[in-house]
Amino acid sequence: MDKSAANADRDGICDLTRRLAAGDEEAFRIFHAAYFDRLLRYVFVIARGDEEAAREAVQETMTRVVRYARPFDSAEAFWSWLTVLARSAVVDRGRRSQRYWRLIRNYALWWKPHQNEGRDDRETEDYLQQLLLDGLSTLEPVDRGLVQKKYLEGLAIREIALEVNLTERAVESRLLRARRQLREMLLKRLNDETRF
Amino acid sequence: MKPDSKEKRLLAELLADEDLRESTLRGGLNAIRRKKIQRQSIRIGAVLSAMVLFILVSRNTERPSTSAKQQHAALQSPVPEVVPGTTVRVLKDQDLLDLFPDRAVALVGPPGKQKLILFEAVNN
Repeated sequence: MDKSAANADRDGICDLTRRLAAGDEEAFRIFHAAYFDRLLRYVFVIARGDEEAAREAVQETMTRVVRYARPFDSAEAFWSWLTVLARSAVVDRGRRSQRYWRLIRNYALWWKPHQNEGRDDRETEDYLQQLLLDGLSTLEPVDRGLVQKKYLEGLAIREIALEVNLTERAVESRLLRARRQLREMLLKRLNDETRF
Repeated sequence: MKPDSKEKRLLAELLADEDLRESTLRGGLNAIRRKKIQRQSIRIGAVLSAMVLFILVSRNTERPSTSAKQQHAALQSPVPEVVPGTTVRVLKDQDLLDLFPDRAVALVGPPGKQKLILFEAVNN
């Protein structure tokens, strides 16, 4: 990233987080559009593929963002803070009835250096992408081809249908099935994982 | 902000559902509105508290000055007490004692039945 782009990025995040802290609804919409998917990926890994836990944690994280928002100088610092909120939301969900442990955990999170979170985030992103590639390799060759054309090559359904000589409806149906398989595989692998 | 890679977009497609996206957005916006209402309530509460405090303080500072004025007025225009139906003035203890500035005097006895005793120096 060149210097002016970096400055623009920094100014953008400064402005966005300042407006979030001031309770600007439009700023929240922008934040949500920009960070929802990333947060969800992160939380799915932290919650080890527990779909219900991930959903609740994302919801709780968004609420905490509103409650505790403050200005940040850089996107990295802001994301680091978001991961702390997300992690604590996942842990709180798991220990909702154990107030004592929540207190201990909050204390530990408070002391935990934030730079570790950035590394964790890169790990989770890399790990998820690896799982995705693994999952793609387990699909039937035709389905794998469809997913790659649709999502990695960015082709439209009509173009894919012409290329593989199937109806558009058949392509959509196979894509739906392939997505389900991939999703189940992802959640299962995350659930088996003990790294995070 | 960097655009997400194609793999990330596929992951988002796999993991997200529109209900969750919509509900988190709605939940966040509701939280912002609640926070605004809270802030306004706190502001209004602070203003009301300040007003109540101001009223209490101003009342407390007014009271002593009023009673002081009354005391001052009482000192300035003493109304002598008289025996009803006569012009005979009722003396207070101090007024009575003040009538004998050069003599040793004392009021002895229970209130209402006191006796004035005048002392005289005895030369041996």
